[in-house]
Amino acid sequence: MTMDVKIIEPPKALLSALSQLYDLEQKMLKRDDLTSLHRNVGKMKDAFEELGYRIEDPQGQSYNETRVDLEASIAGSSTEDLVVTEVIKPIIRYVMRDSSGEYTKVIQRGVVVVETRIKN
Amino acid sequence: MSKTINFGIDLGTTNSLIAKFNKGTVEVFKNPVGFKETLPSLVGFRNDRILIGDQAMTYLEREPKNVIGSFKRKMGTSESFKIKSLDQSKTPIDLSALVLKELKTFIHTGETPEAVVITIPASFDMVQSNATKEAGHQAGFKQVVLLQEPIAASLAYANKTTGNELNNSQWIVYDLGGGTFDVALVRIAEGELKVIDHEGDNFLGGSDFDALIVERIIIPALEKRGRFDDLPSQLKSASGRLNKKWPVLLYAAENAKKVLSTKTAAEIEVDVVDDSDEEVSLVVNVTRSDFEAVIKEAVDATAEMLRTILTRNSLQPNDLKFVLMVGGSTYIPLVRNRIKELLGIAVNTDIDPTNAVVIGAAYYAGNKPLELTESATRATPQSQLKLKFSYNKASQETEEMFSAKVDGDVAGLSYRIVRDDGGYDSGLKKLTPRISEDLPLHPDTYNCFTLKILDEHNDKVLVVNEPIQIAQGKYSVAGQMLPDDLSLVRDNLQDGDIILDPVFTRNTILPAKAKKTVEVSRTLMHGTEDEIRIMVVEGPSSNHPSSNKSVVVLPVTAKSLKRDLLRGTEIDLTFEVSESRTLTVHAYINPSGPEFSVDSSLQFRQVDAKALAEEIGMLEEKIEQEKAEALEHENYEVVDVLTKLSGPVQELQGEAVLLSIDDVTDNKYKLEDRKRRIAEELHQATSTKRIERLRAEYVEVRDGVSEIVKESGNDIEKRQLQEIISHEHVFINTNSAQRMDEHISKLRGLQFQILMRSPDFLTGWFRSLVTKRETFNDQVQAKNLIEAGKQHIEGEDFDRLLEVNRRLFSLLPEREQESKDMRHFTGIS
Repeated sequence: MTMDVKIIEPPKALLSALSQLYDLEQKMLKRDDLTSLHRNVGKMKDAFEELGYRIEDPQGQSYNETRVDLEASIAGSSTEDLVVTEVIKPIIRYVMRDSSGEYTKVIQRGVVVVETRIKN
Repeated sequence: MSKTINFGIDLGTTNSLIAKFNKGTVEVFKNPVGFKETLPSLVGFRNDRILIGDQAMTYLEREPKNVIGSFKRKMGTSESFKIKSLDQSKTPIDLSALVLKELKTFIHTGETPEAVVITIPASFDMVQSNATKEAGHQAGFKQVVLLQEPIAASLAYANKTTGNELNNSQWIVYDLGGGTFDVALVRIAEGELKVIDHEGDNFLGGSDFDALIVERIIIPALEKRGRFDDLPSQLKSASGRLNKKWPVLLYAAENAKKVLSTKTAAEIEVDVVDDSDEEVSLVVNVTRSDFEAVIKEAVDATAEMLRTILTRNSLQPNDLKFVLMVGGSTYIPLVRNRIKELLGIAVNTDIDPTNAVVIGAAYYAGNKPLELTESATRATPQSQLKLKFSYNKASQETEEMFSAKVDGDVAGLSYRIVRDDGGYDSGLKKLTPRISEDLPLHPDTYNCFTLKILDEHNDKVLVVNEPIQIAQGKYSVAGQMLPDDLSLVRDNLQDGDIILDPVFTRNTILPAKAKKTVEVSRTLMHGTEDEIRIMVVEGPSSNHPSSNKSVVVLPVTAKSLKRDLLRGTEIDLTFEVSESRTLTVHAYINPSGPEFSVDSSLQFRQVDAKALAEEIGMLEEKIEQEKAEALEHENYEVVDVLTKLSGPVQELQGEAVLLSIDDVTDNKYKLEDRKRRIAEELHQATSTKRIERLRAEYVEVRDGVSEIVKESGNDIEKRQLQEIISHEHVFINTNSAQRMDEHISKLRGLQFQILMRSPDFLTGWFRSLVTKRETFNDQVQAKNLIEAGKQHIEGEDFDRLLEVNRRLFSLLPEREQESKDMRHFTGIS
């Protein structure tokens, strides 16, 4: 199943553009008056995905010491049951497809802040 | 020629790096996940795992008793670190060895070096040096050669320059890194490099500068805008309300600091909620002089240490050749300028300050002979271990329990499981007869893991060949899979044919969703009978479309349009296949006005009588065309097969013409089946030849483009070419003509992009356009443009000539802009 393809390190400017696109989308989500732009952002994401680059939003995901797709800073004093509460940079994956399916590889680690999950 | 060591390691206080000398050049290895050259020199112990580098960094501040850093400062002392979670102690040697072992995992060449050059600070005494050597041995290196860091940096510089300019001279190596500062006086006499004197501060570096930006620039700006009671403490204290913003601000400050190395101002966006629950959003404009004001004191302190060295050695600034800048913080203009200004010594910034030490170490290693005796070389351990895995191969959960039974001697061995996508690393764990791990799963995909068994030196004893594969999400044992590819049919304008663009590949697990954007390839005049077709077919996407089964035809008719649908308009298509295999195609057209969409929810298999007749017509033409080509190449075997197909296809053509558009019988399905079988035979007879031709064409185009890129391509274009070439072994063996076509087209696109900058090409294009002057839609505009073009050629203004060419091209009638063989079947491309 694994594709034995050596991933070429992507240009920094491309990763930066993808991170900016993520930021843009996050800012738009906070505004009710910008919904008409979502389609455009969605299409930009699709275009990047066609080139093989996928943005993954780790917000809300669980974190522990075995995750190597995130560079995390811990807020608060507890280090147990951690969850991502701030995303400084999203995870970027390179997507490859062949007849057996899809295979992805992390090419930019997400940069995040994690905190102990607040129990309801 | 005797073998040399070749591998160099910069075992730093804050970060470590590994590099290899190979045939005169040095490669600095990168972490395969995240592509960073640096590994933070940190070791963490959590839940019976050993974490090294970035993973440990996360817990550094919150669990200082379980994460150890800066142990280099304690090398050679009797001090050891009590690890709370292990309830045992680790010496600085143990911890350094773990970092060295981890660096070995950066080596992508498959080598396991047995000898290495490790750098040490100029300040290290004999005991500290021996301790570093011992760490190297513990990490599995049989031969360890030490090299002082300032010497390594000087070697990196010396190998960049030519001639003997350094002979019998002396200089300063100024090393300001992320967390430490070192300065050393280096002298070369009779070809021998020596560190004469040194100074340093173990608690000064770039991370201190980031904190200063936050404390002295951002916090005051926030305090002016919002209501905060003791904001610094709210940010920095673990129990502070705004503690989670502290790393965010540090990260923003670090980025601003980098920007300020090349620009005079940088912006930092800040978003926090103040004590009155009001959101404070501001953009702090940090100028280079603001930044310089906050770090000046620290930078001046480094200059003072440098001055101390000069005084102690009775040297004047002009006795020194230069100050060689090393360490990432020396990118800061103030650092460079202040040293030059305060000491009057030229600053040398010719080497990459971030990896100069490891590069120098590798150069040294490239000249240092390997001195391993026969007995010292370790035989590759032959593992007698047997492993038996137990886990669920399909899961709906976000993690899945994996366990293994290990038969054999496990003493001294450890294991590590990594997920191949770079998202999970178990860290190093002790191997026991039974092991178990909760493996986290990436959603909706196959998760492949690799299990490695390692000896005490972190060298691989065994990479378990049986892959651990767990399908997450929609995958399950009883999961519905697509039996064949589903593809969109598109016009191939260049070849006057239709091609398949795969939407879902075979074995895709249902339900599935995909999106595509296509372009309308010819203008559709509203109100006419014209239409474009969105066609989805089922069958191998590597085949010709006509040999696949038609599944959905979604016509977009001109009658349903309120205005003309112009050529080039984009249509967004969404395809969804439900678990019960219902395909829904949704088309969204946005012709710069009111938007509308059409939906089609259809069960598999739909045949459009009109489209079928056209397809049969195209098939007949294709057979004749292929036959003519085969005859030309005297390929009589193919000619025979194709001749036998001519009769049936003509018969089919006659029957298809008689079909009414709204035929309700199953005749059209029968005809479609027959058409498909003929097309399949055609495809089989000609595909090998086509693939071979495309392979040869690909190689020819690739070589041609490589030449052009080498001569005139920029860095981005070189990278694009490299990326295509790195994947060629995948698509060249797929037997998919379309994928090869795609890559040939990508290469041609690249070639065209470069040619568009070439004066000869632009001039030639212009001249060719001029020959078509009579056909231009607007003669007056064309005349003016042609005049302008001539002037641009004379004045060698090729940017403007490009613009003229583009405008002239747009004046050509549509038919001229298209290739002469162009035809439209679906109307989308």
